[in-house]
Amino acid sequence: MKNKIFLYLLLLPLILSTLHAKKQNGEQLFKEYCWGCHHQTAQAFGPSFRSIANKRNRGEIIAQIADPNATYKSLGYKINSMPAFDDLSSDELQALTDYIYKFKDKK
Amino acid sequence: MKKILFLAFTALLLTAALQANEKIFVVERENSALAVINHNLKVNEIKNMHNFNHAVVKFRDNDGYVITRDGYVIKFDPMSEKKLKEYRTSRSAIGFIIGKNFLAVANYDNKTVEILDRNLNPVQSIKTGSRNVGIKLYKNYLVFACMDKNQLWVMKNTNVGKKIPHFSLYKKIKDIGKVPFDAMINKNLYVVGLFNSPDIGVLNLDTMKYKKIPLALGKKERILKVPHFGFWSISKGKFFIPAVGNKKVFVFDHKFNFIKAIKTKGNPVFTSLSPNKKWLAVTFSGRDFPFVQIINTKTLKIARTFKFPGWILHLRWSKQSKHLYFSVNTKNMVLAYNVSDKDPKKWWKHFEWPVPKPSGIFLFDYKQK
Repeated sequence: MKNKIFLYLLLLPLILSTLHAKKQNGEQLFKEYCWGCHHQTAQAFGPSFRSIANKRNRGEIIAQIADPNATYKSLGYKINSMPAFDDLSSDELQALTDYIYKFKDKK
Repeated sequence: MKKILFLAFTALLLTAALQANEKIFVVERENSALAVINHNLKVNEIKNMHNFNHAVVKFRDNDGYVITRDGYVIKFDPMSEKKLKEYRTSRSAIGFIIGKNFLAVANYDNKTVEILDRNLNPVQSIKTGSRNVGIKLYKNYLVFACMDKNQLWVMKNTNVGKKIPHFSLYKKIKDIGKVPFDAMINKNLYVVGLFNSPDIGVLNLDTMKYKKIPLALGKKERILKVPHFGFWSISKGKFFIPAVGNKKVFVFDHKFNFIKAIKTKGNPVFTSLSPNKKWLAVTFSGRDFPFVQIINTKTLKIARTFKFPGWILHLRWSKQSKHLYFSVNTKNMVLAYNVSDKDPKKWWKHFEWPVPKPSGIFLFDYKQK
């Protein structure tokens, strides 16, 4: 038992750092791919992350990131200027979506 | 002999530094502050400047103005380095110009162009129903592009000579191409960039005739940052235009005859001409953010490729001394390279200033009236 607790304690920093890395990852991805056109809370060339988080579910966000030409009309946009990010991995899409949801208004 | 030359050169540099009367203001992107660099030292920060992502600073006479991402216009004194007044025109502003007795602010959200007097009192609100970009002045005209309507609006000041201006719609040009995103002006030519069309648009402000100039873009690549146009990429005989979604800078003569497409390291963002017009500095986006290329404007060849340790978000040529300033955003520093040598390969790092998350660099000339 003592050994198990010791093992958990030993692994705790690793688990915490992994969780932190995932959070970091979303912000890093934002800076790498999105921040030239989107701002977290204000309308820029593209809509703000706040407005996206307030009106879209996860599936819609991921579909729009991966292939916006296919989704923009059904999401109510008149035009599309966004390129496709079809090379992002599942983890990257999830991390980016987590990051976008950070700016959702608290009810 | 070498020692004498070295001393003479150092004395020359010191004299140049002492005579410089250029104050450098740097946007601290994440910090709601404007850093002030004077006499080669970081001397101050003007704080409480709201959301400073994409903040733009301009000067006229001895007044400084800033617009912020969250729609504030802030007036400050560049001499005392103090904030004087603020007024919120919108939830997101993108550009502005300063006239003799007014400011005109182009907004993304809400969809207006706001006219203020020089003390930031509201004068007029022009409702366009679109995000608005590329705002410029020509004679008594105020010109801007409506991004969501694919239109150019030319407003005429009907209160010329009076204390407060009033703008009325003079000409609306429709179907200019898809998604105008920025513009530059050279004499009577208003040149607008089109994000979703393989053209640029040119409006002659004397005849009000509009034409599209096709660009040989080739296959469009993924764009990670919208390029910026500016008056600084117009030389005596040439326009330098960053390609949208392609690793090229286009060169045209002033009649828009195509001269060359210069292949560059990445997708260009800023193209900035040196004061003597001999060199064009180009910044990039995405993975190529750390690179800057210097193009010889005579031979149209790349003269040097810089690789910095972090992302270059902005650069600016000094007007007073032989320096080129770089904002190295991810390394929290602003660099000044000495560019006095004829060969860009011999330009060298002269000063380094610690500035948190720097982006736009703006220069205030003490003597400007």
